[in-house]
Amino acid sequence: MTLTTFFGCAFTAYGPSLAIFLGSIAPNAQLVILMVSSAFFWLISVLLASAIWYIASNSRDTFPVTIIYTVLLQELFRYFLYLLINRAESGLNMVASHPKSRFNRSGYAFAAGLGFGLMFGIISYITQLVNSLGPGVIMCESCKTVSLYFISAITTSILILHHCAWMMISFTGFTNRSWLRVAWVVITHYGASYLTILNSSPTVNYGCAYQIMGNLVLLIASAIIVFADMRHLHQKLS
Amino acid sequence: MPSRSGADSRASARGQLDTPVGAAVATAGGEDNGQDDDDGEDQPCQACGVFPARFQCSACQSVRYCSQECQASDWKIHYRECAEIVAAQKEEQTELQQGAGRPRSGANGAGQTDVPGDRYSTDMEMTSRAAASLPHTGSAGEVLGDEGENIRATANRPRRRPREPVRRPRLTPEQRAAYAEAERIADMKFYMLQIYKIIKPVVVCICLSILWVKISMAGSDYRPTQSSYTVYKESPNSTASQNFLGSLANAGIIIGQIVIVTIIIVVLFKRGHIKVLIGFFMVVVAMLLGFMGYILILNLIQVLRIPLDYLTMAFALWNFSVTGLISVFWKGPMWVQQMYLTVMSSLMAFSLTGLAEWTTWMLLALLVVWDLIAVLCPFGPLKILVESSRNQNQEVPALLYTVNAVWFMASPPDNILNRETLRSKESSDSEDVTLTNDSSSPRTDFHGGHSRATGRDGGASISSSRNSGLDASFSAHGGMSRTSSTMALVPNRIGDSPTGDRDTIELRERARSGDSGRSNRNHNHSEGSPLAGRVTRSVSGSQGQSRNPRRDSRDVDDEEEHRETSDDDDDDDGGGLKLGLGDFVFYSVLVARAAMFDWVTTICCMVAVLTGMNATIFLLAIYQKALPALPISICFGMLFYFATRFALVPFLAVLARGQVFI
Repeated sequence: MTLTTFFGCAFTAYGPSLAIFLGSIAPNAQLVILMVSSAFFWLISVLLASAIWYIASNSRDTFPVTIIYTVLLQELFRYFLYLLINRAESGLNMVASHPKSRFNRSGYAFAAGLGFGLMFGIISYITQLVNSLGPGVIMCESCKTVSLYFISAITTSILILHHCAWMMISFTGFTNRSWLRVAWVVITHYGASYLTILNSSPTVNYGCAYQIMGNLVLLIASAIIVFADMRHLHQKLS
Repeated sequence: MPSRSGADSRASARGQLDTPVGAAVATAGGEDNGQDDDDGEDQPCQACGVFPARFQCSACQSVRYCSQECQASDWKIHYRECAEIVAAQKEEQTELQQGAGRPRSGANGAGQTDVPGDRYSTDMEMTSRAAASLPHTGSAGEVLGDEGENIRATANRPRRRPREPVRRPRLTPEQRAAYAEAERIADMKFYMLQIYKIIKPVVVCICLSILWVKISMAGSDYRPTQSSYTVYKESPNSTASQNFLGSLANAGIIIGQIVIVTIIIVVLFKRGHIKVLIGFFMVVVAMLLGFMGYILILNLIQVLRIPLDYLTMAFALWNFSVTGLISVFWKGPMWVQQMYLTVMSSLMAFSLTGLAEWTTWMLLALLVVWDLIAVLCPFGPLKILVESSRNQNQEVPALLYTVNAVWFMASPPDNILNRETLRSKESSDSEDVTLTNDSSSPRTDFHGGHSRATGRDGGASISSSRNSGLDASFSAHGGMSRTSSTMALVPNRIGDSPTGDRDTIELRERARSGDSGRSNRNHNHSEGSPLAGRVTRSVSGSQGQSRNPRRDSRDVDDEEEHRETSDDDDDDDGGGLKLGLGDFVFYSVLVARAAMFDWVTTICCMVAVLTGMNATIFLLAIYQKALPALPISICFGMLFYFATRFALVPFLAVLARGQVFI
């Protein structure tokens, strides 16, 4: 349904994350470069996942199996990104605006997470968004009264924010060797992805609503962990 | 040569000014040149350590150098202590005059300013005069403690205010190393900001190309088509090997044209026929803006169904083209020029999307090879161009996109304005005086833009360059733009200019005229202007010897052009990175071709190209020499395009059908 749907869905999906980007990352050159690099990393991970999918032609349509290796690859590349930032950290801190601040690492994690998230959001949703420009509409399978575009937009926006949170939690986990946090990230990523299967399930009524609520709960939980970590960091030496 | 006391009194006079006129630069010419220190035999050169060190810094007279090159190369470290020394000298004098040192002032007499000079002498031995200054050195000890803080804070301090003088007896080697470190940090910050500043126009150009392609793909009759000289027409029925060989032939023809044109440009430049180049570039830019603009407008009118008559369109197109020509080749606001360069690149890329698919990819692959050869191999045309530009002390006119400030240049060769307007940045430590008297004069504002856009037939890239240092005789400077898209990113080395203030205007002495390079310089010398030091530096820089990696020249090496931008002092930041327009064009060609398939491929290729550009600039910061900008980005872009097209897009299609988000 043309322009209205297009703009509505576009702003729903990308609005919060673009606002965050424009507000805190865009003014800072270093974070922008970091963000682009982390988007690159996510892209590599998804390309590898799609290569595996292409090769494993028998299980092409089974989503649970696809999600297994896709999420695994993403988490693996999250770890690689952590290693890279770790190695470059001294250099990054040198040119940062506050070289001695202990929140620098969190800033890098945040920018990297937003890179992952925005790349994820754009790649996953852009085709549907452009399709919504056309005159037709596709309804969501499980909630037959809402268009597919809109449900996907909401899911995209929640998951982009969730990527930021995951990156920050995982960086804290890798730094402090707190494997609980790393496990939380992996498990909630799997959880979020599997929840989205509800979107198209023909058997669960209002599956899309459950999915949205479930993802929101997970997002809030991750956000609580992030804020607790930051407060702990803030109070640590002061 | 002037006596030492004479020099000292001059220095003291300067020292008493708040901002000594260009005193930071050890003048190569003029009266301060060739000062022989009477105890030069026992002081080593500050930079290289040889004896005898016959020159000295005219501002503080406390460090010795063996040659002007050494002085230039040490400046980036010495300027800090120089300013403080001078300020301390000044304080010393006021203090002495206030009666504290009355008895001694008589003793020092003419050499009053020698006292601090001796104190700050880098030579460990004190001269006889230094004995009198012992009480001063005694106070130096207490400030050593916060030296480390001082040094570390240097990099992050905003470089606007003059530094408060800190009494330091001399810089120990550790301190010098620390200052070198701070220098390096500031350099890295500069590069980071440059990446950011150059990402924006690249992204704009790419987005414009995508826009044109998407519009023309929506069913217009005026889509750009393959030019007629390509030998092979791809058709859906041909086999893969036929396609491969045929497209190789096509791309080979285009590359051949690029190579030939580049070589012609190099030859023309070496022979000095700059005006021919400039004229040609002007014609090409006019044709590009005129004809490709016309085709684009026809596309827009048809697809968007704009009601527009021919008269209005002709009028608008004429204005657009002429404004572009003026802003690129003559004078104009910087943002207008940048905008035109970006639009021109996108137009060129749009025209190149008329090539068939296989041909495009083959062309990009061959361009990578060509770029690497031309910029890095010793016999590559671009390398030859760089060297000949250095040998002739002449800037190669070319097409470049500059991200930084406008440079006001020296004006006509007969009365070269050697004015140097340095922004008084903090880094200058108040050494630089801003002579703004002529900064507003239009004649000092020169851009030489020569764009050379070989048309589609050459598959050449357009580049327009802005010359930073032109004489009036060069006003139409032939831009040497290499057609080849390969552009070498040239590091713009700035001293420690702050990252923030890029847009200030500096007048820099650019006495470069291709034919009379030396004479200009001599002229500069005779003026004894503060710029003389710059001349020296630029001379030494351009001769490529003892090139100060940080400070001396920013070599913009666009494959097409090589221009030496001599950056002189730390306060320079007029340089910035320069990217050839050919690179803009071929990045956009790649992403526009990806846009012809799908949005996902578009985004992926854009991210790949941007990451490649980041990586190239990072390498530039490490290697500090001209690098080809195409290879990494194009390789990433092509890899991602094919991977995305064959694997990711179907994958995402399946996921989207199930509304599953990974």
